[in-house]
Amino acid sequence: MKRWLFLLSFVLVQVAVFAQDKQRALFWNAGTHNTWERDFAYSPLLYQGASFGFTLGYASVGEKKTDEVYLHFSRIPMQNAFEASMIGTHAQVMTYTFYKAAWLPEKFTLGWSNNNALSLRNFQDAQNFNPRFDFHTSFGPAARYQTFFGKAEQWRFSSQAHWQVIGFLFSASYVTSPPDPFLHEQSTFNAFWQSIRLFQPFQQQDLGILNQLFYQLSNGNEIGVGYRFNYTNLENAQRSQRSIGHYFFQLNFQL
Amino acid sequence: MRQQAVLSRLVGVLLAVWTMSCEEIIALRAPEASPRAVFEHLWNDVNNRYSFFDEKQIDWEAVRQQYSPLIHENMAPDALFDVLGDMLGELEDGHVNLLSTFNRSRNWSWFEGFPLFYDQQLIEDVYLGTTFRIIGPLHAQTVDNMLYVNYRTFERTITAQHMDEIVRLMQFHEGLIIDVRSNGGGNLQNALNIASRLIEEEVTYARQRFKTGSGREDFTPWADMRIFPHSGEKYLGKVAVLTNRRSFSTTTFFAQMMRTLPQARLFGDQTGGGGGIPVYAELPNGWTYRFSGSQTIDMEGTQLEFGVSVDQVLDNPMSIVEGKDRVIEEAIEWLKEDN
Repeated sequence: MKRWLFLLSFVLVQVAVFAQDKQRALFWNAGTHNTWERDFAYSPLLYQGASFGFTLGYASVGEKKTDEVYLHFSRIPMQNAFEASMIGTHAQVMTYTFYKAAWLPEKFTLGWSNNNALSLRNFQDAQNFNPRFDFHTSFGPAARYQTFFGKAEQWRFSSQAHWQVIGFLFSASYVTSPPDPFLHEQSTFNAFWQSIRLFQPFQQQDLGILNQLFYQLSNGNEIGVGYRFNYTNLENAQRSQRSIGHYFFQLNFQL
Repeated sequence: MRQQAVLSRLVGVLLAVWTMSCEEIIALRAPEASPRAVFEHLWNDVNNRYSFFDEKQIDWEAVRQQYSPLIHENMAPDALFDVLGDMLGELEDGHVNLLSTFNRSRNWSWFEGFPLFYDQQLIEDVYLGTTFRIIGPLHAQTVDNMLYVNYRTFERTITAQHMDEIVRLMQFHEGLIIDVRSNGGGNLQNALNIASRLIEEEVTYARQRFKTGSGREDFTPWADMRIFPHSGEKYLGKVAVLTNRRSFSTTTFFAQMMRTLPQARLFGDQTGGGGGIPVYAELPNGWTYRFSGSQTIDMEGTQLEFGVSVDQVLDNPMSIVEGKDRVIEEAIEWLKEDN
């Protein structure tokens, strides 16, 4: 419950900050998630699967600055090539901030992104130390290309990408689910503090792409389709890797 | 101007198509699953994460030298399984197994070759009879004014209600006998659920540490393992606990819990051990395996991996009496003392 309250307050803070701008929109999307995932603490094999996932989001578009926040969630049953099962649960809060610069071509904006991603991996044949997990909060540059077309420019296509370079990482330990500092007696704060590792460029990787095509309705709302891709490679006590491809249908509601 | 617009859209389309193929571009290859690759993966992971090399004085490098020449590229899966199973058998650990769809390797040296002093038929015929109570996973019967409780596996859950009933029954009995002989273990919480009804204050019964890296001494600091008293009704009288060499894993932990209680006494033979918590993992060919990834010691520093000794040893076959379970009889005798 506390975690949900924290998440809610985080979103509200984001909304409050973005509310200073002019054009605001809430959006919702849903569609298929194709995923593969690998956790070397359990297996060198790839687990793959597809399921349904959804995203809630908020965007604030100003003349010089655009802010977006996305809340992604999916729970995906996966299998390896030998039909062993794993349930992957992914939750992610992703933000983008883009700035319009005079020296940039008109259709391009540059900015930064923040990714807060949790992955839980429940291997069904592992009776102990299950699920394994990792969480990372990271920051890095982002870029966007956006173009309008059609007679009344009612069509909008955007393609944006992020690359995470700095942040921190918190993940399962060498053999157990909880990080090592939680395995002996000390305060939870100390254990958490000792469990954190730096998210460093080229050692940890998180990069993603988001393509969207929208049609604007007469009331200003938009309907569209899109594709989101995210790749993560984290190195802590053990290495974990995953990729998510999300094809979705999206509705944007102007506020 | 028009040309620029067309070019711009073309860039957009190309971007979209290219990025939508990212999944294929970044998709990783499956690991090599040749017999050699499987052997190397297993040897290395056990080398890095197994927790008892020093305590058991196992030269794992020598084990590699011994088994590596037996691996060749065209060997059949069952032949590979046998080599890998035998290699893991060198660890002499009941928590180490290789699992495939056609077999499960194991090392049962911790009880094989030892008398078990336990005859299920005798227990049913002479002690439980047909009128015993079935309290969840526990079979309970009054024997010579003592409550005899037989628990076959810690995998079956003991709830607070089950223990409420045991504690209630103790109002009408002079002592409690808990028989966990040949109980192969299961969920540690079930052991704690029993023990928490037999104490009034918090008890530290063991210490545990986990592997944190590939070095032989890479472990977390020792952490106390505790029993916390149940808030409800408890039984604080004498308890006899019966174990044998086939009492393994969680049953060893339970025996250790009981050994720390002043009103409890262990009878039979030492437990089989199993003081390392098993870690599960998977090989590149889809077989799974498990191995001990932790250590547990008693309050004197003795590894539970080698078993918990009893207070009253029954290791002489001559002490078996026809038609009676000598371990139960000795437990009753002790429970009657000073009552």
